[in-house]
Amino acid sequence: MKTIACTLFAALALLLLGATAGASQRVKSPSVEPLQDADEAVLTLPKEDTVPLSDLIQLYVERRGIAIIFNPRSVRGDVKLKAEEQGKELRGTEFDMFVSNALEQFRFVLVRTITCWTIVPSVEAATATSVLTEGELATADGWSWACVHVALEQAEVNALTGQLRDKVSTYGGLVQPSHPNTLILVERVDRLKLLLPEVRALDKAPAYERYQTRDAAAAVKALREQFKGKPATFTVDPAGHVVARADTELQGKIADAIAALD
Amino acid sequence: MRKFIAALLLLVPATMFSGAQEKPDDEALKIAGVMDGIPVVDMIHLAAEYEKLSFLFNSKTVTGEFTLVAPRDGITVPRDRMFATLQDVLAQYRFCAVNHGGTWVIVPMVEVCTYAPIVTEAELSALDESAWVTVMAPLENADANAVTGALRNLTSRQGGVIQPVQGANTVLICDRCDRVREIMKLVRQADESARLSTRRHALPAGADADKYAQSVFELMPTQFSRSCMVTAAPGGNALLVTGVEAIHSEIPLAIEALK
Amino acid sequence: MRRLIAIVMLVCTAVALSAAQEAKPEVKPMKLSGSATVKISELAAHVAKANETTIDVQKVGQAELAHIAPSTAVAAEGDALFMLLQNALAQHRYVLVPNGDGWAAVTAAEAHKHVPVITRAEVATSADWKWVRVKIELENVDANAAAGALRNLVARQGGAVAPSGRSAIEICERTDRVRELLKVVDQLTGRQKSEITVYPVPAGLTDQDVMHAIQAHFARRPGFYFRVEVSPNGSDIDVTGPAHVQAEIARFIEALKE
Repeated sequence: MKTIACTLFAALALLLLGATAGASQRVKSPSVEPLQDADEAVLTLPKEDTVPLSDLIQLYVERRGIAIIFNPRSVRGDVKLKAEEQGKELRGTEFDMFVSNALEQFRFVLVRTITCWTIVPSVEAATATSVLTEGELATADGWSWACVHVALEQAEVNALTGQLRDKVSTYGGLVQPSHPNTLILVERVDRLKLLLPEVRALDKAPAYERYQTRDAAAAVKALREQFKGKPATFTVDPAGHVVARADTELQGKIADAIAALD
Repeated sequence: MRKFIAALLLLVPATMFSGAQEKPDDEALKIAGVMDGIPVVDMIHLAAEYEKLSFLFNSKTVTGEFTLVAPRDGITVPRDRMFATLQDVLAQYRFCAVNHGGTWVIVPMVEVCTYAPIVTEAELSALDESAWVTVMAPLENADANAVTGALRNLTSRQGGVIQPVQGANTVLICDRCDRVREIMKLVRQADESARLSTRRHALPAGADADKYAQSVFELMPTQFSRSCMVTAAPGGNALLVTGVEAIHSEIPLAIEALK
Repeated sequence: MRRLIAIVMLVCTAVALSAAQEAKPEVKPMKLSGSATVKISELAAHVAKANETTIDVQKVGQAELAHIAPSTAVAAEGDALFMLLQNALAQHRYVLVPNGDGWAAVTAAEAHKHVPVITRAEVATSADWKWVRVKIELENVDANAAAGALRNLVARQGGAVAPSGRSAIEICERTDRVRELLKVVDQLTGRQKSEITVYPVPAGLTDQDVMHAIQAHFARRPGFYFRVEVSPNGSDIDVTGPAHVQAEIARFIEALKE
């Protein structure tokens, strides 16, 4: 066996490491903590400039006091800046949001890992975000990405998924129907906070309406065919009427369909 | 802006970790500045040395460089976090380290589910968050196929796997421990949302219970009807309904509409 | 004179040989430290020497591995050395299998042809690093379902899991991995294990009422298998089914009491 000296390691250790090897501890320490208060991070913008993405990342790391690991071959590009005025200052979460927006231009997101932060393609955001409850979402940073699980009360999840799919980010946003009638949403927190009230508004209680027809059984059969895939159900009540369960908008169409049948 | 950054970078010597010479600290590693083009293999050396671990890998496939950017004032990495940092670095190249018979082997992430130890949900909480594992998650209420389909997009690309165990209503999730814990939150929420209960719902006096049962069932939307059972209660003017919680608030509305 | 020299040489040779046998060098544990590039043939030679066996790695002997250990060194001997070699071979899609009195490296895809077949009980005593084929009898579980659950979890090359009849599966894998896979098998059989639970008939109802109510209520439920019958004592209902089915039927009978 040929043993080679690990010169790179030695050089790296001597040059770059401050600590020396001691007894190994298998009890894990808490994760890396930033040295600076996030609120102290300030970015002073020029009126107009073009900045390499890598420079912006360096500046962000410097001011924010965090460490970021990334693959330099994939994370690159130039960010064009235009501010209202020379010297405009972005503080704290404004700075975070600014960097998040810049990364999004290149289809990247900044996510927390075990020890530090990393930059991943936006399309992989769903595989790296934290799962938050709606309560936790309220206090989460707007620039970060999150995943929430929403239990629906009334709306049919597949129908709702279709309505929401166009409302999330093309790269990274995710609307996933789940079992039994729940939604999984992945999106940047600021947009997620806007999206959730929309979900609640769409998850409205349906209306039950009764319709008089000549042949209720035949009408129900025809309506089921006509409204296949729509959130509407039909039956015949003991008195021989058609009873439909659907939202108010769809009830109007059902009434028209029954009138056409008669 | 560029000038400003350039000036700032002049102050930050490229590729520099600030010294512990000023304040020796055995427990933490202080890193500072921009470290560009660090070979992945150097990170393996660091993890081996600092965490006293042995690594075995194919040097022809495990190659590449990464960039670590830290503030010039420095940031501390606990020495026992070097392995976790290595996992982050390896993930950039779709590799990961798994313990295979006492040695840490570095394997492509797409194959990690063939190496990862298989653990129960209870065992998961005690594991190192940077380790790759396969968790068996038995479901009480939700359907394993449906849960698998819903969560498939949330596992790590090239390596994260979720699959149902047919017949045992269990899902197997293979991913890095920190990710598995996040996914397990969704699994438990889905399982809780699918919890079924059976309740008795009174019918109007003189109602034909069997006919009501049929009509009420037909009125239930598809998302409920898949797991919903409605039958006439024996010897009483009532329906017995088994379903998720939301359905029990829906049943009285349906009965009212049929009166 | 010539004859004398020949005798003296013979005696000297004999003494030298016997001395060599008595002073057989002790093989110390292999110490691994720092960074090393290891040739499979060299590693195999050391493992063979340390364990007094033969290891044929001709086909893959020239392949190399990187091994990085802490500078304080870690020691390996016995099974740990075999495990190191097995891991090294795995990086090149080879596995170590029995070969006469010794061992040989064969391509992982051929492993199943060379490995010993053992019983489930023997898995407990088999060394972690050894590749084996194990037939596992299943209770209450379909062999195809079990094989399907495990298929993704075995080595991409060499690992195999296949149904063996309707109620058994055969796994070809390394012993330590087989032990992991058995956890899934046990989970599968445990969840499907049926038990009989006796439920008293709620007041005001007959046993037939309850039995028919249960059958009608759960008839359409997919994957919900159970058997319900009147107890031999005539006043209770016996339900046979796995635990999750029993829990739901218990809730249903509670609702009947209201």
